[in-house]
Amino acid sequence: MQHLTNRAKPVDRKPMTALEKLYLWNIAKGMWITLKHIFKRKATINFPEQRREFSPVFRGLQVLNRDAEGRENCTACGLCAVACPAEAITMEAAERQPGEEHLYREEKYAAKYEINMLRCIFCGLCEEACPKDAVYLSETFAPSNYQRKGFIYGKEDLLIPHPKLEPEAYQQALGTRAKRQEKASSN
Amino acid sequence: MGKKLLIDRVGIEGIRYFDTYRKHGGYASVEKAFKMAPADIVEEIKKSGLRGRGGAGFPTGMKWSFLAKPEGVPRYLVCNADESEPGTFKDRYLMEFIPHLLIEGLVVSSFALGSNRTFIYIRGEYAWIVDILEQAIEEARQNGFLGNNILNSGFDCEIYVQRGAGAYICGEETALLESLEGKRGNPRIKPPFPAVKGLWDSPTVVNNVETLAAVVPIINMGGDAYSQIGIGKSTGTKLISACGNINRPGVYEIDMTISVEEFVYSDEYCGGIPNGKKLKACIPGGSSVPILPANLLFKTAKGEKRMMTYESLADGGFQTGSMMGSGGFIVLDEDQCVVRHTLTLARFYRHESCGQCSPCREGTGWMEKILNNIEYGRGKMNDIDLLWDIQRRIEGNTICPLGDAAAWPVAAAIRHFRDEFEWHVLNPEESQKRNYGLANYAEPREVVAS
Amino acid sequence: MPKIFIDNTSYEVKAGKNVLEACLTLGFDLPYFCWHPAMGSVGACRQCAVKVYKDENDTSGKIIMSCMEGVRDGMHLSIDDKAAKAFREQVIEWLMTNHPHDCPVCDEGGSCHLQDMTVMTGHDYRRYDYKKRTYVNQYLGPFIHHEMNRCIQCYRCVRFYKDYAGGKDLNVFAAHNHVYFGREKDGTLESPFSGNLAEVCPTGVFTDKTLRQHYTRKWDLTSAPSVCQHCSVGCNTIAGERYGGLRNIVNRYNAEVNGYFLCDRGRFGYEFVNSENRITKPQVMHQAVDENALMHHLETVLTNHSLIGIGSPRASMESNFALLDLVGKENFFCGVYNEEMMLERRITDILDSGKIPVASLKQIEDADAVVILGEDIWNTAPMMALAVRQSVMKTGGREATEKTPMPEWHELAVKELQQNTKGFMVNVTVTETSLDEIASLNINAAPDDIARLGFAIANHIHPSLELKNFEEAVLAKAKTIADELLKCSNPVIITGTSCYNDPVLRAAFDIAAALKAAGKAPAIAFVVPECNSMGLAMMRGHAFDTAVRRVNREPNVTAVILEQDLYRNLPAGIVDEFLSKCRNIIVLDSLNNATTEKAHVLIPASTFAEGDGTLISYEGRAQRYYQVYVPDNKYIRESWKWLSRMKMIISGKANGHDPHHDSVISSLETALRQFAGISAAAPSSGFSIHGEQIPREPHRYSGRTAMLANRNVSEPKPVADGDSPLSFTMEGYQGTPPSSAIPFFWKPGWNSPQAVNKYQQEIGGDLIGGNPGVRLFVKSSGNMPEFFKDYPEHFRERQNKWLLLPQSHVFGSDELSVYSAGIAGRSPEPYMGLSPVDAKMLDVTEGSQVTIKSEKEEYSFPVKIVESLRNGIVLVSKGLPGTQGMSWGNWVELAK
Repeated sequence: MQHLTNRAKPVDRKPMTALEKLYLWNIAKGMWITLKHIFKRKATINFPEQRREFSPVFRGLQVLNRDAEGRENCTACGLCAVACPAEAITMEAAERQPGEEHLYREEKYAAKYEINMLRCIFCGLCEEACPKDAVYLSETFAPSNYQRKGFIYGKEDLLIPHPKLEPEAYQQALGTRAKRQEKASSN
Repeated sequence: MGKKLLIDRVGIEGIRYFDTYRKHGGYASVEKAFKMAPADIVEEIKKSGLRGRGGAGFPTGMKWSFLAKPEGVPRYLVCNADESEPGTFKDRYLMEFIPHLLIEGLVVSSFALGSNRTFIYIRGEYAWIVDILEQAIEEARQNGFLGNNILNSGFDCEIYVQRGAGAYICGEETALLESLEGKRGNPRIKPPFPAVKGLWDSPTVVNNVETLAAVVPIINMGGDAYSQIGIGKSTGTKLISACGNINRPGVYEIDMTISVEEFVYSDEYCGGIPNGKKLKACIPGGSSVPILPANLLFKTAKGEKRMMTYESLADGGFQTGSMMGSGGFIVLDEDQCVVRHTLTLARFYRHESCGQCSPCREGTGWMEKILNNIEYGRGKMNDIDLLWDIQRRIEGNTICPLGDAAAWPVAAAIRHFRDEFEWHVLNPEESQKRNYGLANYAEPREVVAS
Repeated sequence: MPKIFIDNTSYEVKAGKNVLEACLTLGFDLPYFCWHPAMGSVGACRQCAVKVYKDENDTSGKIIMSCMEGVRDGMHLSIDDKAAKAFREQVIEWLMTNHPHDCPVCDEGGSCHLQDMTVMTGHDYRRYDYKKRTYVNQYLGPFIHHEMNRCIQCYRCVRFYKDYAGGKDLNVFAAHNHVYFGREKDGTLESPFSGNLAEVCPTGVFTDKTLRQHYTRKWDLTSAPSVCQHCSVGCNTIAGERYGGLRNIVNRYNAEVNGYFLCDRGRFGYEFVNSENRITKPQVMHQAVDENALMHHLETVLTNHSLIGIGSPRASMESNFALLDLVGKENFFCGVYNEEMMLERRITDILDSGKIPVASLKQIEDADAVVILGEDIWNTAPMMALAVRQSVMKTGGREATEKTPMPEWHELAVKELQQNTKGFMVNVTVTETSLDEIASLNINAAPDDIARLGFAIANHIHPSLELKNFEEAVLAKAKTIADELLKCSNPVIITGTSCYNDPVLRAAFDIAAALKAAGKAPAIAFVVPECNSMGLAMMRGHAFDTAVRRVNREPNVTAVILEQDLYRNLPAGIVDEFLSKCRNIIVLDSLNNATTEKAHVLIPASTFAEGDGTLISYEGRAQRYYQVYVPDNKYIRESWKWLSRMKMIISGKANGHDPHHDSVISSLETALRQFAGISAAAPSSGFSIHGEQIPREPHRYSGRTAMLANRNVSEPKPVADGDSPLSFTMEGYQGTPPSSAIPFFWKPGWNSPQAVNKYQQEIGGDLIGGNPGVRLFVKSSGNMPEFFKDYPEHFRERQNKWLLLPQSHVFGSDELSVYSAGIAGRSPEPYMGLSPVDAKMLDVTEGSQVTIKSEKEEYSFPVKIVESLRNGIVLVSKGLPGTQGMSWGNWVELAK
């Protein structure tokens, strides 16, 4: 028989000696490994008091974006929903009426926009598919909830704060994205 | 001094009126023709070797012989006076100063083709000429050369003048017929050809003003005699409307035996370039034919003298030659900018595209925008290749020839004056202040775009 | 069959087609815009370029437009040629120079031919970086949204609207790269076929305005094959649903019926499904009850009472049969006005004899002559009028191209040759109609005179009777018509019930019979009022009169009234009398109306969108419509399910389960042999392909795990459909389903309605597997039909009495479609038409109110003076508010 890897080692089936049967040496070996870790850096952190820094490509909760004037970017084209491998996004389109130009950037908008966060796999394909820079994955992740219903995120949960009315919250929601965008535009 | 057959009598005072015209030999051809059989007249035209003067140069006799003659269906002759090509104004001259020559030609041609109702479709902007023509028609009718039973021959003929509404495309024969029928002037798809199904579903011949006027001398002198004038297949005389940077702009009748150089510099014709400037380029046959740089204008690529004939002007194809076209001879001196000139033409063709087929509708607009950018110092180097690419794809791929007409000037300008385009792109600021001047055209460049 | 070589492989193709059609039929993906299978080629877009070689040795070749070149034997061409491909890509780039990048907000996105073609040519990078041209859009009425910036100038819209459908108010304006397609000024598109612009337009210039109000992408719709409910033609449609509401209706190709098009009534008349007026809960004595209480109550009213059922002309065959099954054949009555029922009986008798075949719309299109007797088909069967128009135009084209041969697809050239040549069409109607303008001969006459003319024509073609007291003028007209008909080979005679006149039907039959005797191949079409009028008539239920007599005689009757408003079809007096005498009234319907108000037990029935059923069109074509979606409201069920449930109650076999569709259809087949073969209209519910069902949702359907999450986080199990081979999910067989069960047209690379190309045997031809529907009237043996001999007397005016006839309206005369706001907005105010002489005699002018008095009712309408109307006739708008239940075809009194 050909071995699948070259690391295969035949098992030694020799009966153990009396000394070996005391397991002293093996216990000492095990203890040594354990003791060694006391002096190493901790692998865990104390969440939520402590938080890890995310990688720049971390994909967290979706955010529905607004433009600089605070108008919703989303036109309810449905491309994020069709791209979603978990089929977790659904929306209903509506037509912008005269007088609503300050609310929505284009002639259509999402009257309803829902993401089932229990289904979402945070793959980022929605962000990829969006032609309007309207949905992107932020650096926060879904908080725990007592009820499964709480994981159905509607527009009110997803929309980014208004940049003019709540500038601080807006900047916070943008996170490092603002910096990245700046960097991208300066390049 | 070349022979003049058409506008020789223009200088005579009052030639616009029937009496004077008649006194000077007018309507003799009608009298002669009405003694002949219609088929014989067509035969005479065939013998004369007369070629369509509208631009394509198709033998007129041949066109006439294609006319279907089904029983019980009227046949129509339509005179195409929708002369709208920039640089061409020979028909206007002819109609304005010697209208009876056209009427005479129309009566003879109508008789030859059996058209009892003949139409002159005239360019809308030639409003005042409509009055001249209508007056001439009225005079001819009163003198028995039009109306019922002309010269007791039993042949009836009426001529109607219809004004166009200002579209260049209506000079294309099928679009003209659509427009004449009162429809939108979109070119028809051929076949069926007008000679079979033309105006109102009837066999129709559409001829240019000058072609129909040339019928008069052909009948008067005989087809054989007419075919002796000129060189080879370029028989007879041709009206050339010369304009641009020349000392003597105007309409000239040439007998197609002179050289281009003679035509430009002879005092009898253009009289050379004013202010001692140098010749830069010339469009020999109306705005849609390829522009020729000075070195290729007087001599063909083979080094032969270029003559003012259909064949010689076209020598070298579009690489190094041009076309007789409609005889609009536009001369550019060293102070002219080829880019600007091409832009002007591109704008014209964009505006005149009927909007039916995609290449012409979208391509012409795009070319205009690119040329506009290059001209105003916003061009990029690859714009020139793009321009080349667009024109190449338009040419030959449209329903009617307007696409070709729009593509050729651009192609020729890039082919012969690519340096100037590049200079415009590379020197955006300088190009706004001065012109490129004479091109470095010693070696015409072969442009092959991706 | 010519052999052509495409990229050096040889293929056999059909002669007389153009290269584009041949390539598409062979399955090649060749992009195109301006060409349309129903409208031919004009060569405007230059998109379908291929390279053609002189022979196999020619290597340079020439770029040509494949739509403008006919196939020739031994032709060598290349689709994959580099230059041709580059040119096609260039054309897209040209078109894209001015096309906005607004796909995200465009309604066409996802079902856009331009998107498909752009991807097909491989064009991805645009070198044009200038401003795009813009236009001002127009208001085009309630059906069509206009967005001119998206236009790629293929000219299809005007070619369809003007040339194909004969509309006058859409045109092309301006020139060069600023061509504008629209109306002269803002305003409603007048043609009743304007909705097709949304499908004809290869991009988003013309889109469905009603869809826009509840917009859903094509890939998100749950769709099912359906059949139009708004007239007797039976056009095939696809109905789409999302979030529990019907979103749109689009065309479902059927080469023998509606082809590529629908009328606006059919396309936009779907909104009654989403109406506020829907019956949502069972009611007993106007009190909403639950199912148990309902069943309990039903048990008491169904047992120990004698049952009668009133069948409906707009309910499915299944429901009507379930009712018949419940009440028994002898207790089954038709909820149709007596006069109308007699006519329908005559029609079924004629068609049953099978002596003259029924004309499908396709046959009407291909007919070389058409005679219309007494039916305003423009208003009663709009798609048939469109087919007649095609017959007239095509015949004209054929005549013109006889002398100068020109292939049929070469649209502009054929038009040029054709000019004003038209095929022969006689339009004999009571008053002027919209088809008059294309008719060779228009005759307006009273119904009896129409019949007399018909008999005279028949007699000219084949003398079968003695004509007495016929005016010379009528005979002369008859002779001209007869002579023209004798020149034709496959004429079609169209008539219908609108005249409420039996002799007209007989005359129409006689003309067809005479033509058959003269060796022609005639066909006949009888237009009936409702979508299943023909099916109900074929059931041969008893007349409503007998039902009234029955309730007067028997005191203890429970009447089960199926999906209809009796007050609409019958005079109110009779209905009142009937309903007052019934002990119990059980009504099943989907919408509240005057009859449901009188119901003791009201049961919510499903509409076509929520249930399965089979309708029988005017040609006796049984066509299946499928449930589109499962409504949230569990009470909404097909009537046949409710009725079968009631049957179980009576027989005491109730098990709480609904019967399956298959079993209802098979018992219909066994019980009524005239419906034998109806089960073949659709595959049975057990049908599957490789063990897979046919999905109602495209594989790109989105939001499946999120749509219902707001109600229940646990994703519900998809509902199983026990009645059809279709599933309510996106999983299932992805290939081509059977032709009668195509829920949507889609093939890789073809997202737009143009994907139908891939479902056809040949382009513009039959669907793969044959066209949907089964024709129930079978052709009988070749023996000659017998002529009707009894022609009526000349129409005579009566003293102070007028013959009451209906004037139908495309928008408004149909009961259900007026629930759509757009259609309601376009329906006219009801009026009464009088001839000028009659108006003068009554001393009334345009607009004055006149009262109609029939036996029991009085109606009052403003007068409209109709020049073309005969004296002694009064026309009243049919089906509009206030004009229900009139005694059509009877003599009425008028008073100021």
